[in-house]
Amino acid sequence: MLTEPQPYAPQADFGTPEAVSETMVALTIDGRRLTVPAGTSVMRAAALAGGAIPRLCATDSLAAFGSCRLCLVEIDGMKGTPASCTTPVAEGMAVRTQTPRLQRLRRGVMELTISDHPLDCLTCSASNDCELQDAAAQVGLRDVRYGYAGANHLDAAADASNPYFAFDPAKCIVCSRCVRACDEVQGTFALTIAGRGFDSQVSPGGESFLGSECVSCGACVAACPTAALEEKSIAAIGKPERAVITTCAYCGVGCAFRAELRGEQLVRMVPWKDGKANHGHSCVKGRFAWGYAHHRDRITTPMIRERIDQPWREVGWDEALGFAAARLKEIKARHGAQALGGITSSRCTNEETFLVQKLVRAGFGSNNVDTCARVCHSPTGYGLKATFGTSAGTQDFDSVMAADVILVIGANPTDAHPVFASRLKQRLRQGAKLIVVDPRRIDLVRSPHVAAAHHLALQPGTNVAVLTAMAHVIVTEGLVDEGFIAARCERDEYQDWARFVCEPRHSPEALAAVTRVPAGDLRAAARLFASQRNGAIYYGLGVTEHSQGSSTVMAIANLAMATGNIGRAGVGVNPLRGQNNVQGACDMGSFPHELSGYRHISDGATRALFEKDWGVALDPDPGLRIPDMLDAARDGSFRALYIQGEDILQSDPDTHHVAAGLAAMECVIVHDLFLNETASYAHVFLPGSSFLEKTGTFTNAERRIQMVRRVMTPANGLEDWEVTQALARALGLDWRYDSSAAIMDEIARLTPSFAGVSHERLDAEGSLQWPVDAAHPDGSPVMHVDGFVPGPNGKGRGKFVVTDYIPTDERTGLRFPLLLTTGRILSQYNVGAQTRRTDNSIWHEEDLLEIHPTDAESRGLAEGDRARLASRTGETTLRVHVTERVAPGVVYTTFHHPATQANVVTTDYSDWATNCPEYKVTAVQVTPSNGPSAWQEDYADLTARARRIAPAA
Amino acid sequence: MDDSARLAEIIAAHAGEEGALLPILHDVRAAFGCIARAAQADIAQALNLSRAEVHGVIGFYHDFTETPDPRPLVELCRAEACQARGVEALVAAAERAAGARVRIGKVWCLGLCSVGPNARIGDDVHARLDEARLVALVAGA
Amino acid sequence: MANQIAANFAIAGGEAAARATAEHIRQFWNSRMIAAMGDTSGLDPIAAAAFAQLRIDG
Repeated sequence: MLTEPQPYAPQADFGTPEAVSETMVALTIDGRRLTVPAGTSVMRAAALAGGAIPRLCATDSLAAFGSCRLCLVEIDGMKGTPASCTTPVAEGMAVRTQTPRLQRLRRGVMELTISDHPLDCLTCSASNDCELQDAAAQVGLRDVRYGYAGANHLDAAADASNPYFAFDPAKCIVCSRCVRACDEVQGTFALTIAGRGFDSQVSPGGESFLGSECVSCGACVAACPTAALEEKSIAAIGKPERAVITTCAYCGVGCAFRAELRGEQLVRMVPWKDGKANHGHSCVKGRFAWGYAHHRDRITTPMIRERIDQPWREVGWDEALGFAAARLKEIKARHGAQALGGITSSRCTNEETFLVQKLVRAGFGSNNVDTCARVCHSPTGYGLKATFGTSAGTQDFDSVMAADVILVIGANPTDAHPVFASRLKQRLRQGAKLIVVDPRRIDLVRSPHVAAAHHLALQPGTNVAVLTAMAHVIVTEGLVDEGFIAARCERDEYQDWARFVCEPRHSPEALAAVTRVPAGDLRAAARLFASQRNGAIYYGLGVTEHSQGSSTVMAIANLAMATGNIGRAGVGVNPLRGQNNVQGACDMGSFPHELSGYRHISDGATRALFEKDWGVALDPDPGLRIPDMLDAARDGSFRALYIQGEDILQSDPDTHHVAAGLAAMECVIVHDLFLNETASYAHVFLPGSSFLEKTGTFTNAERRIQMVRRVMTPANGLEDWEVTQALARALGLDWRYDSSAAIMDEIARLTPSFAGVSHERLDAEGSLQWPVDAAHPDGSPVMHVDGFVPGPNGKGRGKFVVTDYIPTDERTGLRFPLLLTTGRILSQYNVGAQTRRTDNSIWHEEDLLEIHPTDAESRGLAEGDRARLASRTGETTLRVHVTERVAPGVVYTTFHHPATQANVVTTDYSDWATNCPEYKVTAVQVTPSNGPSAWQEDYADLTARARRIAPAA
Repeated sequence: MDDSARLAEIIAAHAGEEGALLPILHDVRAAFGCIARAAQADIAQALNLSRAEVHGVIGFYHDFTETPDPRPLVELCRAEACQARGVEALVAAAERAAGARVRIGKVWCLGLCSVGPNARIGDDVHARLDEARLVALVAGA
Repeated sequence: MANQIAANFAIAGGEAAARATAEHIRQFWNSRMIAAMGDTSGLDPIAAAAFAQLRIDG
């Protein structure tokens, strides 16, 4: 059981990686008989049998290396003393791990190692948590015959340039674990052994760690057996005394972490080796960027104000909730239930999200609930439901290790989903082929030991055309998997689709004028994708955040079905979700038209189920989406909004439109950690709790439901679900959940795909991938294995959908000749509310505008110059970065900083089917600029005024 | 031809070769006397290696340095056979003769063990050295 | 918005496109938004036909 905090102990380490084999091998180790899979090392076998062979260079996250010579064993019939890490087990083998000869040899090795190591164990930050110390104890080291006066590295200078960890070469034993972790696990190759022989030293390429290629993932720190590479927080605080398993709250990979603490003080977050999404790996955000949780900007007291031009007044919970409830009731009485709505957050737990949409539907009485997935993956919901019958990615992350060709479209995994990207790169280094479809030359296109076979650098906004052209090649050249289609898909729809894509106007040659992708490259990429045994497609917001977002998702699904790439490991359609719980927020009924489990609100039977459970009648009419709510606010029919954990002013497109909508409302309730940008327009601020302060579940991009566990007491006193419940009670609803587990029980009761999910089961099993129901009692790592999962309305057969390419109405012209596209970088996250409040800003202090050298030159712009970025909707200023990563005619920026507010520039064009905003295509002009735009100055002023808090009376 | 064009030419000459790194490093050293950090970055980029990997290889081989040393180099064999034939007794005199003008390097066996002590200057190997001959070699280097 | 939806279904052709557009709007639009459309004669013919159908169906 993982529920109770565990006393701190290092995570189990079996020395070498697990071997997977059907063949079992029997051997004896120190007289004990055991059976292990073929390919297992003697070291691992001994560890599995409960005996620990001393070792230094071996750890089970890395391939055996055989360099430290400490793990020597004797094996009957073998000469000498082989290293147990590099020796595989064999049938009938008899191993001895402890003999006088081995003891002598090991001591000799340890003496040499320790002769060049400081003897400051008592004051060392790794004291009592050090594998070198353990090994010295295991071999019975009592003295060092060589003394300590010889040549050594004890005065080598430490490198503390990275904000989160330090490298102290004096404590380094040059076991190469860090170098190998950087290569094998992370795939960055930022570390090396510099020099040779006695001069050998671990080095980030002869630079400082901060100035090097290091991406601060922490893999080297996790692999280091001593204090040479260690979190600075350990040196500052001390060794942890307890550990709690929880789930990261950044991206949709959903890494499992061990929060390691002393008392209520978090010492470090260490990736959990048994986490099935991350297998012990992490990135700079989850591993290190948690300091925001205790940042001085955090608001922990509820606040209210009559009007938004007044300063905030700090009040107690009862007063704040009473004030909010009175306003909501009054607005409802005056303008009806339709004037009220709420927004759930993909940052919050499933339980919290479920409760917010329940509050809106059952408490407010409208279906005006939406979620931030509206602006990211709503087209995934629409597109995959239309084609596969279920709104979810088809695979688990492990599946990538069986892929032979991988198509990455509109995603930048090394920045946005780094832990998955590391797996992907592992597979590419094993020989899988890569096709990248992206307007930018993202790192995956070419970075150490990884290169795309094809990079289709398309014109932003032409995804559908590229995919249709690929389909054209596949169908016209006879590369279709006819057997799969006949067995698994609707025949008539396939034929309609095949006829459509075969039209000459969809050939790569015909579409090249639109896509700017050379036809030859596109044909070669299509043939490559169709010719391999297992083809997998991974996509991100570069697919969804377009006028044709839903069409592109369906075009991707069509391509996967046409090539038979559904229903087994190594294939599938994989949306990479931006936020930790986008999948969950969608699953929980956050969209205005559907209840949990993607069941339409107009469906009487589903509604009846909820009505019976909740004891209230539900409106069968789909509610308003976020942009609709903002429009309705401006015409006076929508007046109150409860926003949990989302900053729509910064994250939603066309900031002016959002601001005008919010300003028109009479009651805006913001429930968040910080006074975010939206809170400038709020009347009630309810302090939120961080993911470290609450219990619940997140569902990651592979539909994996994992526990988030309360690690410390909420700074505001309440978990977020408790706040929502208190608001519901203030409104007169008789809610009595005593824990988030009780909310999950309700979710399971009302949602067929969650039928078998409970906190109790998650505690026992670690995680579950929905659907977890009678047909899939243990969950579903891969979906649609024997046939498409019959959805609520689906028939269990794949549906091809004709996706016509309808260009966006956003066009470049004389005034706005460039296309702006937006994205994310590794160290920052989304609107930056968390990461900007950590040392991650050292890597990214401001949003930069990437521009091609020819476009920069023709505008008289040089690297670092400030530029004005203007579109039809607005303008802002930011510094330029001149780079060939972007094609001529395309510019790119991130949206992590409110001072830049890239969304002042983005338009309100959106996906035709779901209203997902077209963040990825805006026609702009770029010109030199001297300083901040008028808007930026006004905004800074407005924010300063809106954030005033009245001194306590 | 400027340095960056020369570097690009060297890299291009080895394009597509398996294990191109060492041949490139040798050619770059021959052309520039060292492998500067900027050149390392270009080589890494061209071979799709990390800068750290190139740095690691350069650090492993004594022949490769990051900064040029314009002094002439006299490499004196210090391996077992030459030691047995008295090379260690010659080192001090050689270093005196070298002063700051000449660099005295170490090598480990030139394959002429029966006729040591031996030294090498450029591609020329010199055997049966005594103090006077070695000092003269250093002076003439 | 309605025109954009209609444009994406137009490939299905005339009546089928109007039916698909109407069904899409029924699924995702709040009924007050449909009612607020007012005079739809200026819309793309498929969108206009879709709204006509939505009004008949109520």
